Amino acid sequence: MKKSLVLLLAVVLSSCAPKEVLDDITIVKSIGFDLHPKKDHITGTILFPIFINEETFKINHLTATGETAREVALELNEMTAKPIFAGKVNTIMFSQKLAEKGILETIDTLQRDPGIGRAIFLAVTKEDAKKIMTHNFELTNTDGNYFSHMIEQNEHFSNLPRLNFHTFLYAYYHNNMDAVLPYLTLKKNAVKIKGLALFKGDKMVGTVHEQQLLTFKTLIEPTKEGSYQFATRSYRGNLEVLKSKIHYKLFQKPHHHVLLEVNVKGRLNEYTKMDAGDPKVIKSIEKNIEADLEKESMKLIRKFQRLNIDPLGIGENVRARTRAFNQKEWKRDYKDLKISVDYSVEITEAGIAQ
Amino acid sequence: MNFLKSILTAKSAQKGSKETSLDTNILWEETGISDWKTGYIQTLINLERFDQEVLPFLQKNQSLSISEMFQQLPITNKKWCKNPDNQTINELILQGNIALVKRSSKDMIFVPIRKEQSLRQISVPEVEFSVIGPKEGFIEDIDTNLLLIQKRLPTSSLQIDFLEIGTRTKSKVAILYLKDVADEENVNTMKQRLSEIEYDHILDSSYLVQMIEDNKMSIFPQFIDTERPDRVVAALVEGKVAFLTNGSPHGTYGPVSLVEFFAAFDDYFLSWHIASLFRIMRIFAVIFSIFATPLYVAVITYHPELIPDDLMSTLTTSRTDIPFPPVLEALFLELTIELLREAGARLPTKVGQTIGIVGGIVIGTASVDAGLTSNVLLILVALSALASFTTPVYRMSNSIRIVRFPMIILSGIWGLLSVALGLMTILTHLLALTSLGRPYLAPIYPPRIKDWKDSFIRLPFFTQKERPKQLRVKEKEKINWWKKRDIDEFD
Repeated sequence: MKKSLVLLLAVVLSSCAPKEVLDDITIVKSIGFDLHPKKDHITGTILFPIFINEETFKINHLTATGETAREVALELNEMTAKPIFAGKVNTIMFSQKLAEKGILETIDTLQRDPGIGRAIFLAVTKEDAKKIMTHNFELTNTDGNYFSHMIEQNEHFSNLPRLNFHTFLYAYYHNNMDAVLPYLTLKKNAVKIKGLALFKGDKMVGTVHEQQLLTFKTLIEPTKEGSYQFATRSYRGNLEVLKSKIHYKLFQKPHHHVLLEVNVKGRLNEYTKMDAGDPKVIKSIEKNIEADLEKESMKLIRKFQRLNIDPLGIGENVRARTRAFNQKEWKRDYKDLKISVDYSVEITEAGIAQ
Repeated sequence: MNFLKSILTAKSAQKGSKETSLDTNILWEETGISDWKTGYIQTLINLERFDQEVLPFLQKNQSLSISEMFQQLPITNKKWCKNPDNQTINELILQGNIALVKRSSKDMIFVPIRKEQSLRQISVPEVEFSVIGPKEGFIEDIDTNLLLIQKRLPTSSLQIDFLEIGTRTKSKVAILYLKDVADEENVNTMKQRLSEIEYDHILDSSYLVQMIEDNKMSIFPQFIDTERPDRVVAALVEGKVAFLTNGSPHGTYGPVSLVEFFAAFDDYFLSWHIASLFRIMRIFAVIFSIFATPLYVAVITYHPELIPDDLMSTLTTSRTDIPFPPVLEALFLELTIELLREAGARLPTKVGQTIGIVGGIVIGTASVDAGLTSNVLLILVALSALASFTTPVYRMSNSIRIVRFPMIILSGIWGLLSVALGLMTILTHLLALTSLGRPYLAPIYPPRIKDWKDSFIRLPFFTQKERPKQLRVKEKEKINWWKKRDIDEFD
């Protein structure tokens, strides 16, 4: 009896949790941050749907300025009829200008908010984020999910590696890794993936071109999707990646040497000559692709070494395989480390024609 | 004051007098034959039989003394009482005996010539109707009900013990079990609990069920009552203890576990695949029925981030015009459904159906149109009401519908946190619950994996080699007909 009384009092005397009833909140779908001309100020833009009836709803946007993301949110809240609710945010965009100055403060505010998921997408935009977000994508962005769906489907079915808020934070807080984000730009009536934005700490230091996306993807993670366009003097073609796996090999003697072995299995999707039925031809195509990929990946790795960043997490992979790993030494030597890549490509089918 | 005193003395006088007087309903009549007198209550006696069987015998043998008469009277089960007191006379006459007295003696002969009550026909069980399988249901007469069971169990190990419960109604209760199967502890517990009942009127077995439950404060029933004699027989054979009450068309048995409440008896008539599917479906329905509306309330009120993007617009627009918070909205709809059910249950069948249709369609659509409830919630509430009716045991399906209400209120207070809290409360309660002292949540906890064969699934009969462990039966194996024999081994 006493126990149940205590339980009853616990329910009655403690008040309700703060309510966020679905129709009484402003459901923010995307947030964009830009650099403001005023010193140390950023501009925040939010996109949120306004529901008219079950079929039709409109996307509205609001912009505010402040020194921190929290301040921007407060400013924005002063303009909306219903309190801002960040739980359904699916994309956060930073303009390149802001990204180059550093996004630590903004990221810090966002990662402290338990309402914001870790599976949402972050991106860097070539133009101002506001320009992209307020652009009138008449039919493509009717529900505020355009940006996130675009990134997501590219990660799942195309060459973009799996990147989201979680991977960003993981790489950002990692000693031997640096973060990357998708790099977007505005085309006439769409947003396009232009490549990857490379980060050093919280500052953007470079990009990866969209043609190098697949190479990057095969170097960073095992994957089951992607397509690779290849060309030589005599033919052109496309390889659809069915399976790709990466292995690390370390050589300590005579000097440090990291070998990245990548196994790619694929299907010939497009080929401008008609002799793909011949195993010898297939072999030569495989050889060509291997050489191409190795050349490109070496280009990428050289670039990373030059920028002294490690978006592939080579340092982490080496640490995991090295007893008594010396952080400082690694940092010092990374720039001049010998890294080589060995691709082995296997074409398992050549389409239903052969 | 004097008036009060007189009442008090009258009362104490009443209490003090132990001498009971003769029932004033008893009719004392002279037969006109020699000096025989009869005493009886007219409504209880088959006078025709008395006139045809007893009176002619008296006429023929006028000279016999009372003891000779007792010996020679060609009627079975008669009683001979030497100088009976008023209480025995009352009792015996109320049981349907006719008292024969010779004026010269104080001894009495009691001749049982009871008027046979015309009984209700054995009819199809209404609540536990099954498409295939037997269609006999219990009726209100305990002797017929016992016949229905004994007919199916012609074995000497079926033990039937009789009790009389109810200080005024003196209801006849029969405890049934198989001597060589049922655990004695179960039997004794059942017997003890039944015989300890002190209540003036027992009109139905439901009275007894509520009085002998292990936890009388629990919302969950701890015995199954069924109107199917075959179900009782199955329970008896399994090693359970059952009882029948005179005047009640239900047999009750225990100990039972939670999963048995979701097993319809038709499951045994259907093939095991289908039966298993139905059982899993029913359990899913129960979970849905308890948690659908609370989860809706919790998510809409506190956790909008859990709603998938594609549902967002539907849910938001369906709620925009509604002035109430989701809790009140949900409670309002749930109460409406309960009202419909209650109205349907109180009205005769034909009117009840109309009420159901009118209420369901008209009130449902009208309340959505009027902007009082959202149509998504309407679907959820209707579905969960429907799901709660899939529970085959009526008592359990009621409990499940009631459990939902505190869950909705809780979910309106603390969201998902309190839904989890409510779930934990229910689970701990179920864990603590026992039926005739046996764990209620078995075979899930304590885990009796062998018993899972006939719990939330039903595997084919050849796998059901053993009786449930939790019943602690004396004979663990069911009959071993599955043992293969060659054709020439048969007689």
